[in-house]
Amino acid sequence: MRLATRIPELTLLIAVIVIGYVVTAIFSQVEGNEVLSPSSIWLVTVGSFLMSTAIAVIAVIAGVGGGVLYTPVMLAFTSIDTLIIRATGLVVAMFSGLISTGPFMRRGLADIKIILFCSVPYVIGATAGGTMAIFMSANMGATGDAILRLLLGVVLLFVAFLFITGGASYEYPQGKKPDWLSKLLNLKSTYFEESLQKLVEYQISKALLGFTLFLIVGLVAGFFGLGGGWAAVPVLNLVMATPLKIAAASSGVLLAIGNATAIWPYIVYGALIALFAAPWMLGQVVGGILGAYVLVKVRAGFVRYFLIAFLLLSCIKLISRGIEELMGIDIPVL
Amino acid sequence: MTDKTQIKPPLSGLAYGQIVYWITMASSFIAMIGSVIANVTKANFITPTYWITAIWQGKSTAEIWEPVTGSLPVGHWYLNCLATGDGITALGISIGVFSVILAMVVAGIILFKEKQILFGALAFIAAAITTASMLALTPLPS
Repeated sequence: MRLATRIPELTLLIAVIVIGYVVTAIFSQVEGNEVLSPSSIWLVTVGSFLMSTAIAVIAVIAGVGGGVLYTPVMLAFTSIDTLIIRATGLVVAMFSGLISTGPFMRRGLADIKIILFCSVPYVIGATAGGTMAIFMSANMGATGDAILRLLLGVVLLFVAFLFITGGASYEYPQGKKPDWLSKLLNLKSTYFEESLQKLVEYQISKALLGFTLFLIVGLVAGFFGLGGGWAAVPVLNLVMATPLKIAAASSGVLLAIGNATAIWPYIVYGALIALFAAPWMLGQVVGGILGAYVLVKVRAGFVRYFLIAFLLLSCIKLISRGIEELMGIDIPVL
Repeated sequence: MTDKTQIKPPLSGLAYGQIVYWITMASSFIAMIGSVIANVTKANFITPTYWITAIWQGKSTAEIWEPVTGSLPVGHWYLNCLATGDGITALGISIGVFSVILAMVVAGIILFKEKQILFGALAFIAAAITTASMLALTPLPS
Protein backbone atom coordinates (compact mmCIF):
# COMPACT_ATOMS: atom_id res chain seq x y z
CA MET A 1 0.00 0.00 0.00
CA ARG A 2 2.87 2.36 0.83
CA LEU A 3 4.41 1.63 -2.55
CA ALA A 4 1.13 2.46 -4.31
CA THR A 5 1.06 5.95 -2.78
CA ARG A 6 4.82 6.45 -3.03
CA ILE A 7 4.93 5.73 -6.75
CA PRO A 8 1.47 6.68 -8.07
CA GLU A 9 2.63 6.49 -11.68
CA LEU A 10 3.49 2.80 -11.20
CA THR A 11 0.06 2.15 -9.67
CA LEU A 12 -1.55 3.90 -12.62
CA LEU A 13 0.54 1.91 -15.11
CA ILE A 14 -0.34 -1.42 -13.45
CA ALA A 15 -4.03 -0.41 -13.47
CA VAL A 16 -3.86 0.49 -17.17
CA ILE A 17 -2.12 -2.81 -17.98
CA VAL A 18 -4.65 -4.90 -16.05
CA ILE A 19 -7.62 -3.04 -17.54
CA GLY A 20 -6.00 -3.23 -20.97
CA TYR A 21 -5.58 -7.00 -20.86
CA VAL A 22 -9.11 -7.49 -19.50
CA VAL A 23 -10.51 -5.29 -22.28
CA THR A 24 -8.56 -7.20 -24.95
CA ALA A 25 -9.87 -10.48 -23.54
CA ILE A 26 -13.50 -9.33 -23.68
CA PHE A 27 -13.59 -7.17 -26.79
CA SER A 28 -10.90 -8.83 -28.91
CA GLN A 29 -11.28 -8.39 -32.68
CA VAL A 30 -8.33 -10.67 -33.35
CA GLU A 31 -9.12 -13.52 -35.69
CA GLY A 32 -7.58 -16.93 -35.24
CA ASN A 33 -6.00 -19.17 -37.86
CA GLU A 34 -5.00 -22.83 -38.13
CA VAL A 35 -1.94 -22.23 -35.92
CA LEU A 36 -3.23 -19.97 -33.13
CA SER A 37 -6.70 -19.19 -31.81
CA PRO A 38 -7.58 -15.67 -30.50
CA SER A 39 -7.46 -16.96 -26.93
CA SER A 40 -4.01 -18.49 -27.39
CA ILE A 41 -2.73 -15.18 -28.83
CA TRP A 42 -4.10 -13.44 -25.71
CA LEU A 43 -2.47 -16.06 -23.49
CA VAL A 44 0.90 -15.63 -25.26
CA THR A 45 0.68 -11.86 -24.67
CA VAL A 46 -0.35 -12.00 -21.01
CA GLY A 47 2.05 -14.92 -20.32
CA SER A 48 4.90 -12.87 -21.84
CA PHE A 49 4.05 -9.93 -19.57
CA LEU A 50 3.98 -12.09 -16.43
CA MET A 51 7.21 -13.91 -17.35
CA SER A 52 8.90 -10.60 -18.09
CA THR A 53 7.82 -9.21 -14.71
CA ALA A 54 9.24 -12.29 -12.97
CA ILE A 55 12.48 -12.06 -14.96
CA ALA A 56 12.85 -8.38 -14.05
CA VAL A 57 12.38 -9.08 -10.33
CA ILE A 58 14.92 -11.95 -10.42
CA ALA A 59 17.32 -9.87 -12.50
CA VAL A 60 17.16 -6.96 -10.04
CA ILE A 61 17.79 -9.24 -7.05
CA ALA A 62 20.64 -11.03 -8.84
CA GLY A 63 22.08 -7.72 -10.10
CA VAL A 64 22.07 -8.69 -13.79
CA GLY A 65 20.11 -7.47 -16.79
CA GLY A 66 17.01 -9.48 -17.75
CA GLY A 67 18.55 -10.29 -21.14
CA VAL A 68 20.88 -12.80 -19.48
CA LEU A 69 17.79 -14.86 -18.57
CA TYR A 70 15.54 -14.17 -21.55
CA THR A 71 17.83 -14.53 -24.56
CA PRO A 72 19.49 -17.87 -23.66
CA VAL A 73 16.26 -19.63 -22.74
CA MET A 74 14.44 -18.42 -25.86
CA LEU A 75 17.36 -19.34 -28.12
CA ALA A 76 17.78 -22.72 -26.45
CA PHE A 77 14.20 -23.87 -26.10
CA THR A 78 12.14 -22.19 -28.85
CA SER A 79 12.30 -22.09 -32.65
CA ILE A 80 11.65 -18.33 -32.84
CA ASP A 81 14.01 -16.56 -35.23
CA THR A 82 17.31 -15.73 -33.53
CA LEU A 83 17.32 -12.10 -34.69
CA ILE A 84 13.82 -11.47 -33.29
CA ILE A 85 14.80 -13.09 -29.99
CA ARG A 86 17.93 -10.92 -29.74
CA ALA A 87 16.00 -7.73 -30.54
CA THR A 88 13.40 -8.54 -27.88
CA GLY A 89 16.23 -9.62 -25.57
CA LEU A 90 17.66 -6.11 -25.73
CA VAL A 91 14.24 -4.70 -24.77
CA VAL A 92 14.23 -7.07 -21.80
CA ALA A 93 17.82 -6.11 -20.98
CA MET A 94 17.29 -2.36 -21.11
CA PHE A 95 13.87 -1.30 -19.83
CA SER A 96 14.34 -2.26 -16.18
CA GLY A 97 17.61 -0.29 -16.36
CA LEU A 98 15.89 2.70 -17.96
CA ILE A 99 13.18 2.86 -15.32
CA SER A 100 15.63 2.48 -12.42
CA THR A 101 17.78 5.35 -13.76
CA GLY A 102 15.62 8.01 -12.06
CA PRO A 103 15.70 6.53 -8.52
CA PHE A 104 19.43 5.71 -8.74
CA MET A 105 20.31 9.24 -9.83
CA ARG A 106 18.05 10.82 -7.20
CA ARG A 107 19.72 8.78 -4.44
CA GLY A 108 23.16 9.75 -5.73
CA LEU A 109 24.15 6.10 -6.19
CA ALA A 110 24.87 6.21 -9.91
CA ASP A 111 28.02 8.20 -10.75
CA ILE A 112 27.39 10.25 -13.89
CA LYS A 113 31.12 10.72 -14.56
CA ILE A 114 31.83 6.98 -14.51
CA ILE A 115 28.72 6.34 -16.60
CA LEU A 116 29.70 8.86 -19.27
CA PHE A 117 33.30 7.65 -19.38
CA CYS A 118 32.26 3.99 -19.80
CA SER A 119 29.29 4.70 -22.07
CA VAL A 120 31.44 5.72 -25.05
CA PRO A 121 33.25 2.37 -25.49
CA TYR A 122 30.07 0.50 -24.54
CA VAL A 123 27.92 2.21 -27.21
CA ILE A 124 30.63 1.78 -29.85
CA GLY A 125 30.88 -1.94 -29.07
CA ALA A 126 27.10 -2.36 -28.81
CA THR A 127 26.45 -0.69 -32.18
CA ALA A 128 29.09 -2.87 -33.84
CA GLY A 129 27.65 -5.97 -32.14
CA GLY A 130 24.07 -5.23 -33.19
CA THR A 131 25.13 -4.51 -36.78
CA MET A 132 27.28 -7.68 -36.93
CA ALA A 133 24.32 -9.76 -35.72
CA ILE A 134 22.13 -8.47 -38.56
CA PHE A 135 24.81 -9.09 -41.20
CA MET A 136 25.38 -12.60 -39.86
CA SER A 137 21.67 -13.36 -39.94
CA ALA A 138 21.28 -11.97 -43.48
CA ASN A 139 24.32 -13.72 -44.95
CA MET A 140 24.75 -16.99 -43.07
CA GLY A 141 21.16 -18.14 -42.43
CA ALA A 142 20.83 -21.43 -40.51
CA THR A 143 24.60 -21.91 -40.25
CA GLY A 144 24.87 -18.49 -38.64
CA ASP A 145 22.13 -19.40 -36.15
CA ALA A 146 23.96 -22.63 -35.25
CA ILE A 147 27.24 -20.78 -34.73
CA LEU A 148 25.40 -18.16 -32.66
CA ARG A 149 23.90 -20.82 -30.35
CA LEU A 150 27.26 -22.54 -29.96
CA LEU A 151 29.08 -19.28 -29.18
CA LEU A 152 26.38 -18.13 -26.77
CA GLY A 153 26.62 -21.50 -24.98
CA VAL A 154 30.34 -20.86 -24.46
CA VAL A 155 29.72 -17.27 -23.30
CA LEU A 156 27.11 -18.52 -20.81
CA LEU A 157 29.58 -21.06 -19.44
CA PHE A 158 31.91 -18.15 -18.73
CA VAL A 159 29.08 -16.09 -17.20
CA ALA A 160 28.08 -19.04 -14.96
CA PHE A 161 31.72 -19.30 -13.89
CA LEU A 162 31.65 -15.59 -12.99
CA PHE A 163 28.59 -16.19 -10.82
CA ILE A 164 30.08 -19.28 -9.15
CA THR A 165 33.19 -17.31 -8.23
CA GLY A 166 31.07 -14.18 -7.64
CA GLY A 167 32.00 -13.89 -3.97
CA ALA A 168 35.16 -12.08 -4.94
CA SER A 169 33.53 -8.68 -5.21
CA TYR A 170 34.70 -5.89 -2.91
CA GLU A 171 32.26 -3.68 -1.06
CA TYR A 172 34.75 -0.84 -0.64
CA PRO A 173 37.84 -1.50 -2.81
CA GLN A 174 40.88 0.20 -1.33
CA GLY A 175 44.58 0.40 -1.85
CA LYS A 176 44.50 0.49 -5.65
CA LYS A 177 46.56 3.30 -7.12
CA PRO A 178 44.84 5.35 -9.81
CA ASP A 179 46.39 5.16 -13.27
CA TRP A 180 47.29 8.30 -15.28
CA LEU A 181 43.93 8.39 -17.07
CA SER A 182 41.90 8.13 -13.86
CA LYS A 183 43.97 11.00 -12.44
CA LEU A 184 43.63 13.05 -15.61
CA LEU A 185 39.84 12.65 -15.63
CA ASN A 186 39.63 13.16 -11.87
CA LEU A 187 37.43 10.08 -11.54
CA LYS A 188 36.77 10.28 -7.84
CA SER A 189 33.73 11.07 -5.75
CA THR A 190 31.95 10.63 -2.41
CA TYR A 191 28.65 9.05 -1.43
CA PHE A 192 26.72 8.58 1.78
CA GLU A 193 26.72 4.93 2.89
CA GLU A 194 23.48 4.31 4.78
CA SER A 195 24.70 1.12 6.48
CA LEU A 196 27.79 2.88 7.88
CA GLN A 197 26.08 6.25 8.39
CA LYS A 198 29.08 8.03 6.98
CA LEU A 199 30.56 9.42 3.79
CA VAL A 200 32.64 7.04 1.70
CA GLU A 201 35.24 8.44 -0.68
CA TYR A 202 36.39 6.47 -3.69
CA GLN A 203 38.93 6.85 -6.47
CA ILE A 204 38.64 4.96 -9.77
CA SER A 205 41.68 3.04 -11.01
CA LYS A 206 42.63 1.28 -14.26
CA ALA A 207 40.39 3.56 -16.33
CA LEU A 208 42.09 2.58 -19.60
CA LEU A 209 41.65 -1.16 -18.98
CA GLY A 210 38.02 -0.54 -17.98
CA PHE A 211 37.49 1.45 -21.19
CA THR A 212 38.84 -1.46 -23.28
CA LEU A 213 36.80 -4.06 -21.43
CA PHE A 214 33.58 -2.09 -21.92
CA LEU A 215 34.24 -2.08 -25.66
CA ILE A 216 34.30 -5.90 -25.58
CA VAL A 217 31.30 -6.14 -23.23
CA GLY A 218 29.30 -3.86 -25.57
CA LEU A 219 30.20 -6.00 -28.60
CA VAL A 220 29.07 -9.22 -26.88
CA ALA A 221 25.97 -7.55 -25.44
CA GLY A 222 24.84 -6.15 -28.80
CA PHE A 223 25.72 -9.24 -30.82
CA PHE A 224 23.96 -11.78 -28.60
CA GLY A 225 21.13 -9.48 -27.46
CA LEU A 226 22.14 -10.34 -23.89
CA GLY A 227 22.80 -6.88 -22.54
CA GLY A 228 25.94 -6.47 -20.48
CA GLY A 229 24.55 -6.96 -16.96
CA TRP A 230 26.67 -10.05 -16.39
CA ALA A 231 29.92 -8.12 -16.90
CA ALA A 232 29.37 -4.47 -16.03
CA VAL A 233 29.44 -4.82 -12.23
CA PRO A 234 32.58 -7.04 -12.18
CA VAL A 235 34.43 -4.60 -14.49
CA LEU A 236 33.41 -1.54 -12.46
CA ASN A 237 34.03 -3.17 -9.09
CA LEU A 238 36.94 -5.58 -9.55
CA VAL A 239 38.87 -3.78 -12.29
CA MET A 240 38.06 -0.11 -11.77
CA ALA A 241 37.76 -0.27 -7.96
CA THR A 242 34.29 1.30 -7.79
CA PRO A 243 32.46 0.56 -4.49
CA LEU A 244 29.97 -2.27 -5.01
CA LYS A 245 26.87 -0.16 -4.40
CA ILE A 246 27.98 2.54 -6.85
CA ALA A 247 29.04 -0.14 -9.37
CA ALA A 248 25.65 -1.88 -9.20
CA ALA A 249 23.65 1.35 -9.62
CA SER A 250 25.94 2.80 -12.30
CA SER A 251 25.94 -0.46 -14.27
CA GLY A 252 22.12 -0.41 -14.52
CA VAL A 253 22.18 3.09 -15.97
CA LEU A 254 25.15 2.33 -18.21
CA LEU A 255 23.56 -0.82 -19.61
CA ALA A 256 20.40 1.06 -20.51
CA ILE A 257 22.53 3.50 -22.55
CA GLY A 258 24.46 0.75 -24.35
CA ASN A 259 21.42 -1.38 -25.05
CA ALA A 260 19.50 1.67 -26.29
CA THR A 261 22.24 2.05 -28.89
CA ALA A 262 22.46 -1.65 -29.76
CA ILE A 263 18.73 -2.00 -30.34
CA TRP A 264 18.37 0.67 -33.05
CA PRO A 265 19.85 -1.47 -35.88
CA TYR A 266 17.34 -4.20 -34.95
CA ILE A 267 14.43 -1.69 -34.94
CA VAL A 268 15.46 -0.13 -38.24
CA TYR A 269 15.87 -3.60 -39.82
CA GLY A 270 12.35 -4.62 -38.71
CA ALA A 271 13.58 -7.31 -36.30
CA LEU A 272 11.77 -5.77 -33.33
CA ILE A 273 8.16 -6.90 -33.70
CA ALA A 274 6.29 -4.39 -31.55
CA LEU A 275 3.25 -6.46 -30.57
CA PHE A 276 5.52 -9.34 -29.54
CA ALA A 277 7.99 -7.10 -27.65
CA ALA A 278 5.48 -4.79 -25.90
CA PRO A 279 4.42 -7.20 -23.10
CA TRP A 280 8.09 -7.95 -22.45
CA MET A 281 8.83 -4.23 -22.23
CA LEU A 282 5.89 -3.57 -19.87
CA GLY A 283 6.89 -6.48 -17.63
CA GLN A 284 10.40 -5.05 -17.34
CA VAL A 285 9.11 -1.62 -16.33
CA VAL A 286 6.73 -3.00 -13.68
CA GLY A 287 9.11 -5.74 -12.45
CA GLY A 288 12.09 -3.38 -12.49
CA ILE A 289 10.43 -0.97 -10.07
CA LEU A 290 8.92 -3.73 -7.91
CA GLY A 291 12.27 -5.50 -7.71
CA ALA A 292 14.13 -2.33 -6.79
CA TYR A 293 11.66 -1.07 -4.17
CA VAL A 294 10.11 -4.17 -2.65
CA LEU A 295 12.52 -7.04 -2.92
CA VAL A 296 15.89 -5.49 -2.20
CA LYS A 297 15.79 -7.06 1.25
CA VAL A 298 15.30 -10.60 -0.07
CA ARG A 299 18.36 -12.78 0.37
CA ALA A 300 20.14 -12.92 -2.97
CA GLY A 301 21.76 -16.30 -2.24
CA PHE A 302 18.89 -18.45 -3.50
CA VAL A 303 18.49 -16.34 -6.61
CA ARG A 304 22.19 -16.69 -7.35
CA TYR A 305 22.01 -20.51 -7.18
CA PHE A 306 18.87 -20.45 -9.33
CA LEU A 307 20.66 -18.27 -11.87
CA ILE A 308 23.71 -20.55 -12.01
CA ALA A 309 21.54 -23.65 -12.55
CA PHE A 310 19.48 -21.78 -15.14
CA LEU A 311 22.56 -20.60 -17.04
CA LEU A 312 24.18 -24.05 -17.05
CA LEU A 313 20.96 -25.68 -18.27
CA SER A 314 20.57 -23.14 -21.08
CA CYS A 315 24.27 -23.50 -21.88
CA ILE A 316 24.01 -27.30 -22.31
CA LYS A 317 20.96 -26.96 -24.54
CA LEU A 318 22.48 -24.15 -26.63
CA ILE A 319 25.74 -26.03 -27.24
CA SER A 320 23.91 -29.26 -28.10
CA ARG A 321 21.53 -27.42 -30.49
CA GLY A 322 24.46 -25.60 -32.09
CA ILE A 323 26.33 -28.87 -32.69
CA GLU A 324 23.15 -30.58 -33.94
CA GLU A 325 22.48 -27.85 -36.49
CA LEU A 326 26.09 -27.59 -37.64
CA MET A 327 26.81 -31.33 -37.92
CA GLY A 328 23.29 -32.53 -38.84
CA ILE A 329 23.24 -35.02 -35.97
CA ASP A 330 20.77 -35.63 -33.13
CA ILE A 331 21.92 -35.22 -29.53
CA PRO A 332 19.26 -36.40 -27.07
CA VAL A 333 19.69 -33.68 -24.44
CA LEU A 334 16.80 -32.04 -22.51
CA MET B 1 22.98 13.50 9.48
CA THR B 2 24.85 16.57 8.33
CA ASP B 3 27.09 14.29 6.28
CA LYS B 4 24.15 13.01 4.30
CA THR B 5 22.90 16.48 3.48
CA GLN B 6 26.37 17.53 2.31
CA ILE B 7 26.14 15.14 -0.63
CA LYS B 8 23.87 16.40 -3.35
CA PRO B 9 23.57 14.43 -6.60
CA PRO B 10 24.99 16.41 -9.54
CA LEU B 11 22.42 18.35 -11.55
CA SER B 12 23.48 16.62 -14.78
CA GLY B 13 22.80 13.20 -13.24
CA LEU B 14 19.48 14.29 -11.78
CA ALA B 15 18.34 15.76 -15.09
CA TYR B 16 19.47 12.64 -16.95
CA GLY B 17 17.63 10.35 -14.51
CA GLN B 18 14.38 12.32 -14.48
CA ILE B 19 14.19 12.63 -18.27
CA VAL B 20 14.80 8.90 -18.81
CA TYR B 21 12.41 7.87 -16.03
CA TRP B 22 9.43 9.96 -17.12
CA ILE B 23 9.82 9.35 -20.84
CA THR B 24 10.13 5.60 -20.21
CA MET B 25 7.02 5.73 -18.07
CA ALA B 26 5.14 7.66 -20.80
CA SER B 27 6.38 5.23 -23.46
CA SER B 28 4.99 2.31 -21.42
CA PHE B 29 1.51 3.89 -21.43
CA ILE B 30 1.74 4.51 -25.18
CA ALA B 31 2.86 0.92 -25.86
CA MET B 32 0.02 -0.48 -23.74
CA ILE B 33 -2.60 1.73 -25.41
CA GLY B 34 -1.23 0.69 -28.82
CA SER B 35 -1.49 -2.99 -27.87
CA VAL B 36 -5.12 -2.56 -26.81
CA ILE B 37 -5.99 -0.72 -30.05
CA ALA B 38 -4.27 -3.46 -32.04
CA ASN B 39 -6.37 -6.14 -30.36
CA VAL B 40 -9.81 -4.52 -30.05
CA THR B 41 -9.98 -2.70 -33.39
CA LYS B 42 -9.15 -3.53 -36.99
CA ALA B 43 -6.82 -0.51 -37.20
CA ASN B 44 -3.53 -2.33 -37.75
CA PHE B 45 -0.66 -2.07 -40.18
CA ILE B 46 -0.43 -5.86 -40.03
CA THR B 47 -2.83 -8.01 -37.98
CA PRO B 48 -1.71 -9.28 -34.54
CA THR B 49 -2.58 -12.83 -35.68
CA TYR B 50 -0.09 -12.58 -38.55
CA TRP B 51 2.69 -11.14 -36.39
CA ILE B 52 2.38 -13.64 -33.55
CA THR B 53 1.78 -16.67 -35.78
CA ALA B 54 4.74 -15.85 -38.02
CA ILE B 55 7.03 -15.44 -35.01
CA TRP B 56 5.70 -18.63 -33.43
CA GLN B 57 6.36 -20.54 -36.65
CA GLY B 58 10.01 -19.48 -36.51
CA LYS B 59 9.90 -17.32 -39.65
CA SER B 60 12.86 -15.02 -40.20
CA THR B 61 12.56 -11.23 -40.22
CA ALA B 62 12.63 -11.21 -44.03
CA GLU B 63 10.05 -14.00 -44.28
CA ILE B 64 7.73 -12.08 -41.96
CA TRP B 65 7.95 -8.72 -43.77
CA GLU B 66 8.26 -9.67 -47.45
CA PRO B 67 4.78 -11.21 -48.01
CA VAL B 68 3.20 -8.05 -46.58
CA THR B 69 5.39 -5.14 -47.63
CA GLY B 70 7.45 -6.72 -50.40
CA SER B 71 10.73 -6.02 -48.63
CA LEU B 72 12.31 -5.36 -45.26
CA PRO B 73 11.27 -1.99 -43.81
CA VAL B 74 14.86 -0.67 -43.27
CA GLY B 75 13.69 2.47 -41.46
CA HIS B 76 11.15 3.66 -38.96
CA TRP B 77 8.09 2.13 -40.66
CA TYR B 78 5.78 2.93 -37.74
CA LEU B 79 6.10 6.69 -38.31
CA ASN B 80 4.01 6.26 -41.45
CA CYS B 81 1.18 4.44 -39.69
CA LEU B 82 0.62 6.17 -36.37
CA ALA B 83 -3.13 5.64 -36.59
CA THR B 84 -2.69 1.88 -36.23
CA GLY B 85 -2.38 -0.22 -33.08
CA ASP B 86 0.92 -1.87 -34.01
CA GLY B 87 2.30 1.47 -35.22
CA ILE B 88 1.49 3.14 -31.88
CA THR B 89 2.99 0.20 -29.97
CA ALA B 90 6.23 0.41 -31.97
CA LEU B 91 6.28 4.18 -31.43
CA GLY B 92 5.91 3.65 -27.66
CA ILE B 93 8.88 1.30 -27.51
CA SER B 94 10.96 3.60 -29.71
CA ILE B 95 10.18 6.66 -27.55
CA GLY B 96 11.44 4.76 -24.51
CA VAL B 97 14.66 3.88 -26.32
CA PHE B 98 14.99 7.46 -27.61
CA SER B 99 14.81 8.88 -24.07
CA VAL B 100 18.51 8.07 -23.64
CA ILE B 101 19.54 10.37 -26.50
CA LEU B 102 17.50 13.31 -25.22
CA ALA B 103 18.71 12.82 -21.65
CA MET B 104 22.35 12.58 -22.81
CA VAL B 105 22.10 15.86 -24.72
CA VAL B 106 20.53 17.67 -21.74
CA ALA B 107 23.14 16.20 -19.36
CA GLY B 108 25.86 17.28 -21.81
CA ILE B 109 24.55 20.86 -21.94
CA ILE B 110 24.46 21.06 -18.13
CA LEU B 111 28.00 19.66 -17.89
CA PHE B 112 29.24 22.26 -20.40
CA LYS B 113 27.58 25.02 -18.37
CA GLU B 114 29.29 23.67 -15.26
CA LYS B 115 32.64 23.86 -17.13
CA GLN B 116 32.97 20.05 -17.09
CA ILE B 117 33.96 20.22 -20.75
CA LEU B 118 35.40 16.71 -21.07
CA PHE B 119 32.40 14.91 -19.57
CA GLY B 120 30.04 17.16 -21.52
CA ALA B 121 31.87 16.12 -24.66
CA LEU B 122 31.60 12.44 -23.68
CA ALA B 123 27.83 12.85 -23.27
CA PHE B 124 27.56 14.39 -26.75
CA ILE B 125 29.77 11.68 -28.28
CA ALA B 126 27.60 8.91 -26.77
CA ALA B 127 24.45 10.73 -27.91
CA ALA B 128 25.90 11.18 -31.41
CA ILE B 129 26.77 7.47 -31.75
CA THR B 130 23.30 6.47 -30.56
CA THR B 131 21.69 8.97 -32.94
CA ALA B 132 23.74 7.58 -35.84
CA SER B 133 22.49 4.13 -34.90
CA MET B 134 18.88 5.39 -34.71
CA LEU B 135 19.10 7.12 -38.10
CA ALA B 136 20.48 3.91 -39.65
CA LEU B 137 23.72 5.64 -40.59
CA THR B 138 25.49 2.39 -39.79
CA PRO B 139 25.36 0.10 -42.85
CA LEU B 140 22.72 -2.66 -42.85
CA PRO B 141 22.07 -5.41 -45.39
CA SER B 142 19.10 -4.68 -47.67
